Amino acid sequence: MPGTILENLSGRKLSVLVAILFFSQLGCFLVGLIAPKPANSQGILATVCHNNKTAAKDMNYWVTRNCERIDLNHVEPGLTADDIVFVLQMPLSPEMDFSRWQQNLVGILQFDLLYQKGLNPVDFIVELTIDARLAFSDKKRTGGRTPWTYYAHSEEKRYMDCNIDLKNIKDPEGYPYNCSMVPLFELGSLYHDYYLLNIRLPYNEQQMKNVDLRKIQDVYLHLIHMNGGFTQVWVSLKTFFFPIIIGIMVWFWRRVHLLSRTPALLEYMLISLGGTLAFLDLPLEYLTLWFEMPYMLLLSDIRQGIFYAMLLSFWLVFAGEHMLIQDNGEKNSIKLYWKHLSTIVTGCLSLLVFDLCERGIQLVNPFYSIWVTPVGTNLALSFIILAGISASMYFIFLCYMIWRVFKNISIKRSVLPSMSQARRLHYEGIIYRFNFLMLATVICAAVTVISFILSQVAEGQNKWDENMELELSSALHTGVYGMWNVYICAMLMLYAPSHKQWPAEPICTEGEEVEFSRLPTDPTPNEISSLTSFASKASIE
Amino acid sequence: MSTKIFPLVVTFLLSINVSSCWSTTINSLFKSKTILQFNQDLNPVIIESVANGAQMAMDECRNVFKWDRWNCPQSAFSRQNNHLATKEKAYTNAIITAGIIYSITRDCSQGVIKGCGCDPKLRKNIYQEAKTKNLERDWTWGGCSDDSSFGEELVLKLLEDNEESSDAQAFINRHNNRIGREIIREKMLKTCKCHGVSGSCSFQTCWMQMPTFPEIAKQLRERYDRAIMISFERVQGALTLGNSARHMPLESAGDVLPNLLYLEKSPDFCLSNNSTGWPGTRGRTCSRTTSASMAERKSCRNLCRSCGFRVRKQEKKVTKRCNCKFIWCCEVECDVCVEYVNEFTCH
Repeated sequence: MPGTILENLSGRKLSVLVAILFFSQLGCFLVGLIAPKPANSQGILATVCHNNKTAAKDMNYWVTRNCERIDLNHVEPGLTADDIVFVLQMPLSPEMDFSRWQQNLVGILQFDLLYQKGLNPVDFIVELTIDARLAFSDKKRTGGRTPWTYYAHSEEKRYMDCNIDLKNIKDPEGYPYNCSMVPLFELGSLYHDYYLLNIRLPYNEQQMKNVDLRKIQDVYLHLIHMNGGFTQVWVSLKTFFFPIIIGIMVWFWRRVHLLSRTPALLEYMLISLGGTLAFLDLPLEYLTLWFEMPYMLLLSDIRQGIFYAMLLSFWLVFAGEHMLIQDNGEKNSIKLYWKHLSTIVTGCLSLLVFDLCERGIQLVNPFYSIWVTPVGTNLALSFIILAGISASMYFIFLCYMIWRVFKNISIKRSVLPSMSQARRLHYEGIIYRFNFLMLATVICAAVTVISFILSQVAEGQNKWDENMELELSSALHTGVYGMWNVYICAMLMLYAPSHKQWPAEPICTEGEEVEFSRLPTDPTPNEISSLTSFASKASIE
Repeated sequence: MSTKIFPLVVTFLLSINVSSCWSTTINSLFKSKTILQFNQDLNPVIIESVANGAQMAMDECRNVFKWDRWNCPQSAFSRQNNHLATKEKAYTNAIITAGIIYSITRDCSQGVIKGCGCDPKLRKNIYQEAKTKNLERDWTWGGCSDDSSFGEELVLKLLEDNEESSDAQAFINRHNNRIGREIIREKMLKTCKCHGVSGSCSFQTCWMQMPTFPEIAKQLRERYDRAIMISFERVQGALTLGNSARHMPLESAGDVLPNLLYLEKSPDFCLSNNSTGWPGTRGRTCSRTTSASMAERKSCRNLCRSCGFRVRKQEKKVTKRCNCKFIWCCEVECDVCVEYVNEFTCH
């Protein structure tokens, strides 16, 4: 029975292949360098406008920036909360419009509350009631804009934590409280050119609406959108990898079917891993340029979730298949791994439910957040904790299995000297390549973790150096994305069955105890790798 | 240039209601090429923003120095006092710079001034109109950066064009202006938001939160309190700090020192001075409120007694608002309390 390509490939060909993979990996990183940073933010100061109370009952009444303004520092007497509306026009510059390449929009409110002597405690929580209305407008082809049209409306509750550090501030009058940010909305698709947000903060003592609110100095809206340049680079990367991964999958499956046996479990795992990667690579983002797809955020979460679930399952089965539990016949069944795989399924399902609760409901109401109500927070937290427990259980399982594989290999190593020299070299090579792939996996995982930390650090530090045009965080994202593509391509290629026959070598020399029987009576005829058979043989003894 | 922009702004503020006078006033006052260009080509929105910023700086300066002998009069910003490079001049320089940047940055994020962070050309050359086509492409590709850099570069253009000379006065003016520019950045607060898969931190975007202007004015006050007198040795191109024998090379000295710099000792501000128009501290009110800030508590000693004046105490009956509760948006619901307070004046 032929082995996999990994075992039969000569050292030179292997190094050429590794070099090609390495350079395409490097290419992914470099292509990220030309992209701007993945997302950008824009701070917009709200224009405080006069509200027409009666007209505001109509949901199609919109206050724009050209309105009767109010200066909150010098208000006329008799002004009430209902007379005020905060107007935010997006994007900030009216000459600019949103591009559909910018993908999605996140809005966060920042309230600057002023400390007034003798009036305020040092530390308090404000329960905000926000009446938020969102409208959109588009550019007309003939020039000009369409009128503002209703998009969404909701009255939402949000909690804001405020405090002031009186120890370091000698004279706090005029200082703002340090208040937490208030996430307001999330739009899954940036389909329209302009958006308009009208925010009202109704006051009602009976219904406890905004009773804790203090003097507002300013209201800022921080908008986060993806950068068009980053999306373009990202989608081109996907467009590049998608046909390649499809091609490799077809080639792999043809090779498997050329053999006169049913595909092994590991081969099934590999092809489905390739499938989930192809699904992830499918450049669906192009469609957002023409259609309004608010479910894109949810969809991309699900796509990534499926891919990572498959990758984790693959690692388990990969380790398991080399672990030498040889109860004949059962070996190739996925059922054997139900205990281990259930951790992945639980983790992923709980994350999916959490995601559906947050982003699913946001499809209907972009202002919705699960984190606002205590019940929602508990629910969200319990799902995340459940996912965390499953993840740690998974890693305990995985580490245990890998430890057992390495233990087995080291036992086999000790019997290697008693083999003939040619055979010994051959198997040392196989063990070396297996280790090599294990190493590749560990490196990939480590690089992912490191680049995650680096991108956090890069974004977290104060960078005022305007001359630094190089944007590292995009390169880290494209680099990691490219890395997993390259990794899975490599897996599919190296673990495809080989056409080459074993070198014609005298198989049986007397006295050799550790031996790979390639006789037709082999009890496990559809193993895919001779390493597995090598290991299983030894475990039987 | 800075010696010119301040009176310019003041003149403008005096004639703020008659905006058509604005250009003629400047033209008659200054024949400088920059001013002419400034006047002709600069967006009127920016000019208004500059003026608002200067006004805000003056108001806040008065607030900060309320209980000091020098109480930051409007005349401190005008032309007459500009020859003396005192501590006070250093403060007014810095706060005007900070005020203009603050106002411009605010107007940028309100969309009053257009295209601030979006167009690098706009930052490099404030006099030119931006090309809309490139702007649109840049915005789609990499978004706009929104921080105070537009205001900073504008102020740098306005204030320091002509200050490339290397005499002591120009050096400390540059330095103090820079303190004013940098203080806003320093006091900005970084805030981040995660927006990756399921809201995880695989993607994170951060932005800077502007401080409030009273905060900046008070921070500058601390720099004023720690201001350093320098003597400038032109021959060596180095400066000496105070009376010490420490010499610092000019370039590095400017970068290192976080304090305001001045060249000449200030007068004690006790007595009136006809030539500068300083009224003296006689007749000023001071305070002995125990719960107030240090400067306020010590104000009677500082303003009156150390100047040789006596403190005159007057008991007054005032009705005050107390037990207040704030009602959003604009009301403060209070009880009325009658209190007897002592009012102190220097006599």
